[in-house]
Amino acid sequence: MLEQINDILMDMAFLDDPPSLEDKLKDDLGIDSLKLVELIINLEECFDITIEENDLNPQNINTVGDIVNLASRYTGGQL
Amino acid sequence: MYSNVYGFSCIENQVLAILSQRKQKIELTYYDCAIPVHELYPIMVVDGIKPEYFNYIPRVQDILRELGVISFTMIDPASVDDLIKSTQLCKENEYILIRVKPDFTTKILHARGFRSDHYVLLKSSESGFDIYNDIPECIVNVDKNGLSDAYAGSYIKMKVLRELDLCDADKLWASRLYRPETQTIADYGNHTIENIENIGIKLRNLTGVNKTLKRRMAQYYGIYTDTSFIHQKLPEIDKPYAMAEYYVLKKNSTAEKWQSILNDLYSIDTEIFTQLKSKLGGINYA
Repeated sequence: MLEQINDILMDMAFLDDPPSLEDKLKDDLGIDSLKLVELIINLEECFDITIEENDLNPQNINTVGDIVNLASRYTGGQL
Repeated sequence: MYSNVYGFSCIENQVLAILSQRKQKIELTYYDCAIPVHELYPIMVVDGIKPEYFNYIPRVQDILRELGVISFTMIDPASVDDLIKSTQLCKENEYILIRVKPDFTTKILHARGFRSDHYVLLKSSESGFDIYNDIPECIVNVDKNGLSDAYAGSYIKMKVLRELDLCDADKLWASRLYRPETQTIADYGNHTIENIENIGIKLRNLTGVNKTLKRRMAQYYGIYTDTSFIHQKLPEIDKPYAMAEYYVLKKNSTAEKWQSILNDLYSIDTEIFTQLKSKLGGINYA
């Protein structure tokens, strides 16, 4: 699962190498609030999940690690 | 450089960032920011004005030019040789903002390119030229050929003439159209969403402009009173923006969902404006 998330992030943020879990989505990857929504939708499509509205809070999704945790909760996936 | 500036355009962001780096009180330029959501509604939803063309408050560069804080001159057209010469001759208080081509904006800067005229800061460097982009924040180094490829044929020369001072603060305070300390509106909006074309995109745009205005309010009125209550509300203000974009992209929204977003924004406005009015009420403005 982590590899799939990294592929999505590398594509969206134009990265040559996978990001680290500590990387900040906005400051390090340039993923602003609009792109964050796009990222969430990409995750939903990739893992066939639907993120609940309560979890769509930009304030709680700041790092790559936050995105991985979010996806893990909905897929029960391991890193 | 650009993380704590709240402009409505690339030029505003660049001007604000430059002055912020020079330790100027840029929050003074946010002076006319207390525009409630119910006033944004007719502009952005009924008339459909897009954020990148939101000009209901004066642009930061025009405010600063009128105050005499900066000079701001468009050089159009200008050859790349003329641009290079101007850039290399820049003094410590002089800055060059260049218009870049749409392809460069989207493919190299990875910016959204909502408008065809995107401006970036250009500086001479040891290895050619550094291009500073606002969103996403990045620095791209180019040589003369790279600059020619990026450059769209016009640039702005900005000179910082002096610092913003107390006289400017008083002048700007007095010239506000929107004055939360004296507003007597009973409720902050009760528009009912009816059959409006592209309601989702328009509401998304409204929430985006509202986000920026509330940040400006927190900073500008923070000069005069404690605005921590606005800072604390920012997560609640940001969420409708994300939700609106989510509904737009998923195409699964309903009128009830849009109305719910609008009602949430009105409710937050009521809280913020009521509290701000109370806090400003005790200040002597004489």
